[in-house]
Amino acid sequence: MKPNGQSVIEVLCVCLSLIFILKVLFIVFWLTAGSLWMDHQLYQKLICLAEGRSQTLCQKRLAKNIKIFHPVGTFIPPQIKNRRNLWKGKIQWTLYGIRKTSYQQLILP
Amino acid sequence: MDPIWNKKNQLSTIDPALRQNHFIKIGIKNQSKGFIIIILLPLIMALMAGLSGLTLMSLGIKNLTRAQSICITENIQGQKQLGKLLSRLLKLNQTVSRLHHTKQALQTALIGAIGLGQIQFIPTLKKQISLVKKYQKYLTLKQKHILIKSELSRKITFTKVMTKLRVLKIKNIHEKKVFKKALAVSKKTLGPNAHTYQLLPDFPTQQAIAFSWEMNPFLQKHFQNWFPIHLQKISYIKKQCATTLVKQNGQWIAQLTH
Repeated sequence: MKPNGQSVIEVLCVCLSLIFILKVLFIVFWLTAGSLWMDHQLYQKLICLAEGRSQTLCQKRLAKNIKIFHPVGTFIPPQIKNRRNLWKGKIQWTLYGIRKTSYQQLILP
Repeated sequence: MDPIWNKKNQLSTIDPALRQNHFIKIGIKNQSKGFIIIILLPLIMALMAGLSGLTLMSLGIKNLTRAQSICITENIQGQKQLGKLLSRLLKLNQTVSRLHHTKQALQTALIGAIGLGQIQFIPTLKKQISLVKKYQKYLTLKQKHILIKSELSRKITFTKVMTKLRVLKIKNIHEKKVFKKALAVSKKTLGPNAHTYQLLPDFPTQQAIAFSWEMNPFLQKHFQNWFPIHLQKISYIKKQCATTLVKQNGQWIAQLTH
């Protein structure tokens, strides 16, 4: 059968490749958006800590705000290096099997 | 045989069967082009939607961070300035108390001299009391000057924050402070023209200055018209930053608070 000059298998292949490409595109965008969001949330956590709030509270807030980007496979809590004017943090997270690390630092004047 | 244009644009005559085959091939070519366009269209649309979403998200995050950064930087700079003024004000307390006690001692001595009839000491004592009084007046003026300067510094900080945040289309910018004045201190009067200033109990809370604002992180000059008015109202986010003064190693340090 040749509907409009294409066989059913050809149409199916094209549709499958289209779905595959769309899925890859979605993952790439989701990863980029996730990366942006993680950086921002880490920065928020550093501000939260610099405000003198407890580590537990700031960690809870961070965990709540990054829930949107589940499934986050392994999540290592940020390591905070606290100096008087410098706050540093790091988050390692895995999305779709791709491991990413977000770094942030807050320098107070 | 019908005349037909060949590849070299020369009018020629071909067999009708061959001619039909030729037109079928052209038709298949056009159909393939259409099919490719149909496939590419959702791809291009998905790509455009993804890119727009990412751009909007990064812009929003960037604006939020920028606004926070402006608030934190300016607020801390302002508190630092207030910290310096507070140090100067508190430093004067010792001199004010010492002068007050000196004046009291001189006045007692004067009363004693008058009582004992030692007239020769009276002019010297009076002169010394007058000098102390003058110095006390000078110190009172200095204290007033510091307090006025601190109020001015607070207003300058607020203006700076307002000016810089308004560029980002931020509205409802407010300054919140537990204690109304710039420096959370209370005045203790020792005598005429002799005042010392003490820190209020729970000083860091009383000294805290917070700036709150409402912003739509996506609402920028270029995107303002994209949002319907009712959506613009919903998408406003309330944010705030607060700083206070804390004494560390004998120095007043500005730090973030909540």
